[in-house]
Amino acid sequence: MKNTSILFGSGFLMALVMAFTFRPIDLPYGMAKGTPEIKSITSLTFGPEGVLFIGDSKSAAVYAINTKDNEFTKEFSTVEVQNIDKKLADKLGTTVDHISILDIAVNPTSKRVYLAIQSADGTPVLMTLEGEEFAPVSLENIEYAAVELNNSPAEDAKDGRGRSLRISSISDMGYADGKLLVSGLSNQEFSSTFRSIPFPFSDIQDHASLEIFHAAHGRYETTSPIKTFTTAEINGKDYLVASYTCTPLVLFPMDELKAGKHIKGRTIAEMGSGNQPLDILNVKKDGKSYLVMANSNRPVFRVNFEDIASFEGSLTEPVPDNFATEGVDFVSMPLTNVQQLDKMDDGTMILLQRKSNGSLDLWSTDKAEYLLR
Amino acid sequence: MKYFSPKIRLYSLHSLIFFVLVFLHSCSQNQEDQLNIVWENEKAVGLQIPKDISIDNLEIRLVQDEERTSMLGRFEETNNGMIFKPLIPFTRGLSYELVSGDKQLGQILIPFPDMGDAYPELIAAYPSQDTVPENLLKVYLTFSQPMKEGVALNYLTLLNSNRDTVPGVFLNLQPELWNESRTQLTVWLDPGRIKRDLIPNLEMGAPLKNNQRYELLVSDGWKAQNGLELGARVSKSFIVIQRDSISPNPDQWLITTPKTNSRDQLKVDFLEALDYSLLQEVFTIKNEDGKNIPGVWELGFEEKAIAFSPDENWKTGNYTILIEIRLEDLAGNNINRLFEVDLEQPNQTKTNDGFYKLNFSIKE
Repeated sequence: MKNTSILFGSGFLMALVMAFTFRPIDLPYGMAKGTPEIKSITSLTFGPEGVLFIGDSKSAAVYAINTKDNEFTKEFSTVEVQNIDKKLADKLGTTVDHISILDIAVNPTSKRVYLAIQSADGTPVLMTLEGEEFAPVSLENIEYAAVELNNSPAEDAKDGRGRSLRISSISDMGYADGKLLVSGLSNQEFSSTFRSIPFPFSDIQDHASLEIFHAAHGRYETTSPIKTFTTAEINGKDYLVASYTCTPLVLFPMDELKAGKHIKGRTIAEMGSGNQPLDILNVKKDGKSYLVMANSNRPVFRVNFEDIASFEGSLTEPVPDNFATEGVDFVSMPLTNVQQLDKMDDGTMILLQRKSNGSLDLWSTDKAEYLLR
Repeated sequence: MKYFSPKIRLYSLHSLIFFVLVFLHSCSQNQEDQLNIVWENEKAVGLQIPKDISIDNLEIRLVQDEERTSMLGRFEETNNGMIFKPLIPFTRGLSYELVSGDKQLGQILIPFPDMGDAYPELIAAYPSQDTVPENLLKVYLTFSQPMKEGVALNYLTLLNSNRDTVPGVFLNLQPELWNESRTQLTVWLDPGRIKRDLIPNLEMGAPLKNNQRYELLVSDGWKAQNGLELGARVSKSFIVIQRDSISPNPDQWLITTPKTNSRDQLKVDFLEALDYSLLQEVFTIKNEDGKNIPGVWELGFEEKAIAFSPDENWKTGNYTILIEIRLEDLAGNNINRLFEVDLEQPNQTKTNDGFYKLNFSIKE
């Protein structure tokens, strides 16, 4: 009898312990706790309340992680890190030629700078900048949610065939109005996939996969891949401002971006040959809004949004002989070799720039107000 | 193999130093008393630190002439002492020191991998035929080893028939398009130059010119992930023919049907070269009941044909070959849509989803 009551007693105790141990805790944004299998960190963008989206091109997935870096501050300290690649390499115990900085993102809430670094052997590292020091962000046992991007029609038709040779690379990401926007390109098809994925991610795969067409001067149309994009309000309407691998800058009304629709953008400028758009963002300064674009073989361009709004044309006519950048009026800023762009606040940019002395510097433009004047 | 010799010597030197280090250590101490590298998938992911060393003030630093700073990583307790796990694996060819305060407690070189097949080699370049259309869109390069990312354009050159470098041919895309194992790279020819009427096209013309001979050079020095370099430059010559503005048309393909009760190959001849990478995965065969026929696909000569060997004997009946319409030719024209659609020529664009179906029967 005594044994039975001990048995019952201990059973009850165990049940009680189990009930408390395994009681599910509701994590925000449908996240779960664990260690995501992140194979690469190729792009970064912030969502709401310190949620960081990590674009993983190698796994064709996006991870939303809760950084818990969610304390609002309006102030930020000036960033000026010279030879950032050397400093990072030192901290990682290697040489500069063994690391690359693939993206930077500023948490709009805390104004903390995050860096996506990749070592030569492919190991991804996420770091934050604390003053002049770097601190690794652990990706183990964190709160996260994930969404897979690969939905090629062959996925379910395959059986017993080797690993796919297809790569779905993420070229850029952005977050606006509860939606994660992802532009991607594949190594196989020359096409543009643009996804608008509601966040929190849901089990229902209702994210739109859009085919965006780009017409060259009204005549030849391709589904060219988007390299980088931003969203902006022009004349009270939301637009996607996208730059292509083949250089044109194109506007799409956001409300027209619906799955299965043949969407044609309005070309507002062509950036010229031998150039790749690298990063694009919009900034506000003294009541004016600008679109700022970093390029591989051109200085950083700046365009006033008012000019875009008043530019009614589309580049439908053949380009005249002078081959200048066509369309809206672009101003070259005194900034060359800018590899990455983001903003500390509405009017302050942060740049990763290869200076003329060869040094790779990360710096904020708060002391260079002339840039947006 | 001649070009390997300087590296053999270099390698031998490295391994010799490593050997001597290990040897000196092992003479005086047993295995547990020395620094040991922890390997995982040929990467140096940790450093085993002997038991008698205290964790206080312990640092791992890269040995270099400049200021040596403490590396980021973490110490984990083990039965034999501690393991230091750096944020990224230690780099082969570099030395690291274990320091406590101002005192160096040990130093270790991370050796290059074993000789022989560890040197990277370019094993294939696609398209493999020696003629390509003027509007060729992409090239695939396959290596024997996982390669270093982000530097491809430093090692790729296109020479014209005068042996002059053709500038601005390849798209400088970052991050580069490597497969997961980093052994295959996709390189796009600048689409802004291929696509008619865009400024790059008008200004510089198409990257390739009809009737010209070119040579694609892959230079030596390109490092693999293991730190070893491509030993010799490799080149591939080709002649450019007229542009391809016609979509692949499966109705014109030649199908050789196998005999019933055999495992003979089903052969499909495209009569033109198609995209190497897409060909690997766009085909499926189904029987009358809509069931997939399991088997192995094998690419034919110069990506102009494909053959299918079933796992089991063919049975009499009707079959369907499903081809994903995203299959492209060398110029990026897929089954349903041309690379660039001329809007003045109506009805060229069809849907971009789904499959094209080809039927065949196996008779008694």
